[in-house]
Amino acid sequence: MEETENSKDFISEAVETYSDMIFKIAYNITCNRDDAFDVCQDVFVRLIRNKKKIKNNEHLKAWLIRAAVNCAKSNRTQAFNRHRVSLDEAVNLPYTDNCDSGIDIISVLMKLPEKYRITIHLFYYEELDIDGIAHILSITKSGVKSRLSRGRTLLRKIIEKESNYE
Amino acid sequence: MNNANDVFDKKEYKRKYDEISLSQLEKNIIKAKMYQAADGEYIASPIKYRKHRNCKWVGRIAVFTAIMLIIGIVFVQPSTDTKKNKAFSTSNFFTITANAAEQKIKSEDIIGLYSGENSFGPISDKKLYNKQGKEDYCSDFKISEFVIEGRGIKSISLKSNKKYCYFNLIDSKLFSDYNSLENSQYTKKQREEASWGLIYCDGFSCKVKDTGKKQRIDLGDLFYYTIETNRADKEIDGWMEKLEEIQNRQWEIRSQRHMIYGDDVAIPLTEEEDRLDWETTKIIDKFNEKTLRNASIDLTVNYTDGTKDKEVINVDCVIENCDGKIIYDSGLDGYPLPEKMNKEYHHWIAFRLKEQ
Repeated sequence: MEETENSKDFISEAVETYSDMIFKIAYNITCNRDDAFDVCQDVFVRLIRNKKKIKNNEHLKAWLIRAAVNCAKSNRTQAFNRHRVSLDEAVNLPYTDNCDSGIDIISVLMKLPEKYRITIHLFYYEELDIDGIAHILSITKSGVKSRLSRGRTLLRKIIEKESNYE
Repeated sequence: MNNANDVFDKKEYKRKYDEISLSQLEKNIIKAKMYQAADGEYIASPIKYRKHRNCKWVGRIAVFTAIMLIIGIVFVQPSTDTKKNKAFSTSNFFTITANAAEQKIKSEDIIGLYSGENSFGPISDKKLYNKQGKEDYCSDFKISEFVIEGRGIKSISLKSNKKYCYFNLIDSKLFSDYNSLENSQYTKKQREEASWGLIYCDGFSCKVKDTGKKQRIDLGDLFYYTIETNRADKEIDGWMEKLEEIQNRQWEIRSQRHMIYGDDVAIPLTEEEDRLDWETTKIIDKFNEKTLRNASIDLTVNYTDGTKDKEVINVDCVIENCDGKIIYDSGLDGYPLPEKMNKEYHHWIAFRLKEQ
């Protein structure tokens, strides 16, 4: 009984503290609110199954970020297959214009390939250091720097093109 | 909002992203799901605990077996050093292996090194134009599992011998002798500006801690091999013009698709985009292949006793087929690279050892 109560406290605290962080990471990768919410749920259910492996709060945060990245990538692959349609079908879809006036940084960033997007998010938003990002994404430190650099380069190209387009 | 000159506004990004959050209702839904999952865990727990106890014993037996195996390998198995392709003195030696290879690499062998990460894109996030007044592009190859094994090694030096081919690495106490960049058409300063602390160089030395035992140094994790466009070359320039044209078309389609779907969705690709993407890949392949043609790297191993030895490694990019040559994609046993794999992973680099 006591264990159940402890578990409820743990769940409540974990969701309140980390759910927004996970949601943002998932949104960054899936580019979709509904998919990001699904990912969020998956990550927390995984957390329950792996609770005993978590050593402390720092470890919990790193574990959650890694799980969020993995779940979101997997969700994105499924979502891509789900959404894939021909151009003929696409033109019949209802028109929705979410663009603000001017160039929106989030929508511009969403046009970067996923590997650059998530690296930029973890660096700028979560403020993780290069070591931490390298660990979470299972790449080298040099890889992280390279992705940050290349991501910024592509961002410039996109912004230039968006400006011309408008 | 940021513009092309001020690429990334961190504060605005944070502010915008702060707005992306879950509602309390959504948080409660997650909690409810977690309580459900937690209840399921407790119901299953008695069986799990028993399994855990069994696992411990299985684990202990496995660890014991592994230790015995290691003891067997270390103390019983005869030294395999003499099987390797180089033995320079009684104690110093080095061999080059690839992809966790156990295979012996001889002169003129081609070693298929998978480039675990190959990104292609504009050379700088700042406006940097070359002598032709155009923008350059580059490919970065991360070479997986490029391993030097040996004994008595003090340091390893690599030097790229071809114009437009050089290394990039991060600043570390491990590295030295990385102050020259002649292979790029840009100065070292230009190339490193806005590069997040990456170092661009023709060559570098990497210190190795001598343990007195056999050493294994995974060079693949230490550097990227970068090749840049030479737009004075009419063929390459033509490819890049074509690439820019394709990318503009891709961009036009993407923008139209964003207008159809909005920004908040994973946007499906059209058949035309697929085709354009394939054309882009082919152009990048051609650029990689041409730029890497006749490229080579000097690999020098310096030993603790002051002696040194050198190998020249030719670098090729494997794109279409292997012309019947054996290319190993896994060093464990070594088997020919399947044709399918060539097409899927267009960024294989083949290193060919050259006879000295």
